[in-house]
Amino acid sequence: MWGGAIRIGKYSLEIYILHLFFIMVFPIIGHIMLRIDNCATVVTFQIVYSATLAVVSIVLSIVVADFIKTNKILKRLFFGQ
Amino acid sequence: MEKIKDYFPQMDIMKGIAIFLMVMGHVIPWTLGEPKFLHLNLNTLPQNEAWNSLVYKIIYSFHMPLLFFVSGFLFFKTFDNSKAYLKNLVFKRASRLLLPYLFTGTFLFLARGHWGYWFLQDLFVLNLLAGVLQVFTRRMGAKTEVFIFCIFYFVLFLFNKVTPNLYNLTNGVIVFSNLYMYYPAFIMGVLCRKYPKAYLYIQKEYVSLFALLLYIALFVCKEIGISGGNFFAVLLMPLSMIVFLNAYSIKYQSKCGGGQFV
Repeated sequence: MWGGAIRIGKYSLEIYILHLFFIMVFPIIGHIMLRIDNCATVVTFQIVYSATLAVVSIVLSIVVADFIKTNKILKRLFFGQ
Repeated sequence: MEKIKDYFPQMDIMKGIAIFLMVMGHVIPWTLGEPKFLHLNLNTLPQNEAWNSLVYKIIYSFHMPLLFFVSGFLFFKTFDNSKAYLKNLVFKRASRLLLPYLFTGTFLFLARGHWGYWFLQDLFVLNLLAGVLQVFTRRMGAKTEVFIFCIFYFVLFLFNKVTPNLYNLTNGVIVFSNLYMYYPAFIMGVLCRKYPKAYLYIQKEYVSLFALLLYIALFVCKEIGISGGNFFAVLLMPLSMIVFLNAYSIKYQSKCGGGQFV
């Protein structure tokens, strides 16, 4: 788990820039969340749901960042490297 | 050898935690349809809205300051010639932060119709500000230096009060009127790197435990709407959580054989 945190940390700028394009939004889930009236249930549900989508978004960001970095000009423009 | 000596794994862990929380912190409001109740105190909300905003409020209370703390820590370097240092700093930071800010900001604007990536702009301004302050305070003692940093906090605080609508007026392009929220964390990072004894002190177990308790107390005070609690909460909640997470990250690294990092 913490090894994953280190890996994410090394890609922090890339994830910050690219994750916006990969976050999936399911409004129906939002409606379900708002109907839940129990604190433990809604907090657990939100953590599991948002963490799952965050993992997907982060993995896609890292894959695309690695692809962008194959071009020197794009690497400089996107990530200032 | 030099590179190994200058590597701080706990900073990567903290950056990882902050970025992961940032993505989670975008998923929750977007899924809920960005409702206004997320920005209201818990004691003013109906029960289901209060429970739904709890995770969001905890994440947003410290995740971006945590990134600024790491940036401040990695920013600090000793220097010999102040003029060369500042010139080099402006050029390097513009290349590293402003270029991606402008390019990806434009890219996002074309793709989504709104500007973004305020963190890069704030970080650029903070880098310049901290660089100038570092040159200015280079012959001063630690206490005077901290005092000057505190004065600048109030300058930034007043700047925010004078320009509260800068973000809206510029359609999100100029965001640095919110700098006062992130400046303390950034400067804390700079000072932790500059003064290793102070950094070692905040790693002590009782300090980190106190920091966690302080965070909880401030969170409660803010959310139940105690008068004046908001100012101290905005200032101290992120700092106390940073102290806790920093100590926790180092503890984890030590358990895995990472050793000392100062």
